[in-house]
Amino acid sequence: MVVLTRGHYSRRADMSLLIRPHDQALELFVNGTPVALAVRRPDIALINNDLAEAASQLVTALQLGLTRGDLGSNLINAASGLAARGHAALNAIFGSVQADIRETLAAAFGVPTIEVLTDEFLIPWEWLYDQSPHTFVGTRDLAEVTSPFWALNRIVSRRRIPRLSVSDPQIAPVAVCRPPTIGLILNDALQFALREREWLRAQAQKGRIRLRELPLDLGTDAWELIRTVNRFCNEPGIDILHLACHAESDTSNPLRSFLDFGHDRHYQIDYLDQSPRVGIVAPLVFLNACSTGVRRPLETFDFVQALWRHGATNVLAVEAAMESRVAADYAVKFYELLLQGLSLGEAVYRARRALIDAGDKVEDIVALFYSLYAEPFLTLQVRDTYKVG
Amino acid sequence: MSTSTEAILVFGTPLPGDGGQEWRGAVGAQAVEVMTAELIRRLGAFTKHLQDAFASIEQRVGVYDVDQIEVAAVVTTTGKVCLLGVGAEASGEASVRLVFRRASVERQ
Repeated sequence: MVVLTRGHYSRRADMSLLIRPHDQALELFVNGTPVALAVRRPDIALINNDLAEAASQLVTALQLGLTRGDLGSNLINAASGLAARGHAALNAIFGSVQADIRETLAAAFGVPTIEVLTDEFLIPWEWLYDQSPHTFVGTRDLAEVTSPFWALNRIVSRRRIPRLSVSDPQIAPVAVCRPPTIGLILNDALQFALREREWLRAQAQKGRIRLRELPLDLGTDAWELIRTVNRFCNEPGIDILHLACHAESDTSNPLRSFLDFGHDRHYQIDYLDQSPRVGIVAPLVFLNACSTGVRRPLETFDFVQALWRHGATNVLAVEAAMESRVAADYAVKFYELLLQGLSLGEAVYRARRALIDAGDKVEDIVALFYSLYAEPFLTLQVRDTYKVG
Repeated sequence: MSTSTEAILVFGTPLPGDGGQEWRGAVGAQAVEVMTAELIRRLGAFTKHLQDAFASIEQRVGVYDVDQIEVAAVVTTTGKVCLLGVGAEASGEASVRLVFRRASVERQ
């Protein structure tokens, strides 16, 4: 049997950040201890906007042909770089306790795991930057320049408050049939999404996974699209729901934000409530589409929380625009690591490192944008089948 | 006279094909500098191509004279100048409207 399980129940994150809303501020607890600062909500909003703006500028630079050699200076430029703003965000959030945090995490065995427990998902934690970017002025070693990002030196995961107990069904082992079944919803107009499908089909042929694919011979009739997609999401026996598509957010009317499955097939997020209402049973949803992660301060909606309301318990999403080739490469790497037995958190982290450390294309830097909303220690464990009776 | 370092700002979203990349969602609009000299060169080439195309248009069609042609074009964030076709999505574009008027119209 293959199970998605928490493994050793004694596993705990090396650091837990509990961010509790309190009037106009967010109280910050580190490992259960209140920190002598409360971050104000307006400051959080500014931090979010600042980091989002920096990521957006990085994406624009990539689209306009940023070279690998210029990427380092783009990241650490004091005026606009993602690293510079990530460092400023770190200072703003943690202030004088940074040294204590570093000391705590330095004692961790292996890569430190940080769980963020919050109902205010406004900070892209992966983009916090541990060192002053001025340290790297003139450095052309991209691995060195990017290493202080939390995305590349921490395993970070977010979950809602309250902290789930061991007995909570969301983290109890979920027994599934061997091998794991991936349910694929694809935008076949995306060249690189087809590459994801090719790889998954190849794994299915080798017997490493089972693959179910949403039929693509749909018309543009919204009701047919809703019925087909919703039934697919509700299918029992899918272990990982994988969506390789476009995503667009409508900030003026958030419920009209949609996933684009190609050929004018727009699945608005409020379709999840249409009949048959979606109740996701897959233990993991991989939303491999642009900007499906963190919520912006002025928005009342995000894709992740919409999926949570419809039964999703663990979600892997993207915090900013994602180049399609990187999305395909990342997905392949992530699944390779997961199928080897690494935990969700480890697989997410190591897939990022693999792409950025070894990437020969400058666009690989967007691998920083993957974020985990899940129990980080969940693992696909392959156990021997047993006979019943 | 513009120098090689002068630039103008184009506000828009880089089009998917501009960098040869495919992205998994809409990318926000940005103000991007486009070198003036390059824009002048591209506009000049664009209008030249249009003139060649319009030269083949008959001056009189039935009882009507053709003495003016209006063209909508777009400037992308990389300085490309493109003809705006029917149904083109309004993303990543700064619009330019060009009016070609015959220098002289013979009327009977």
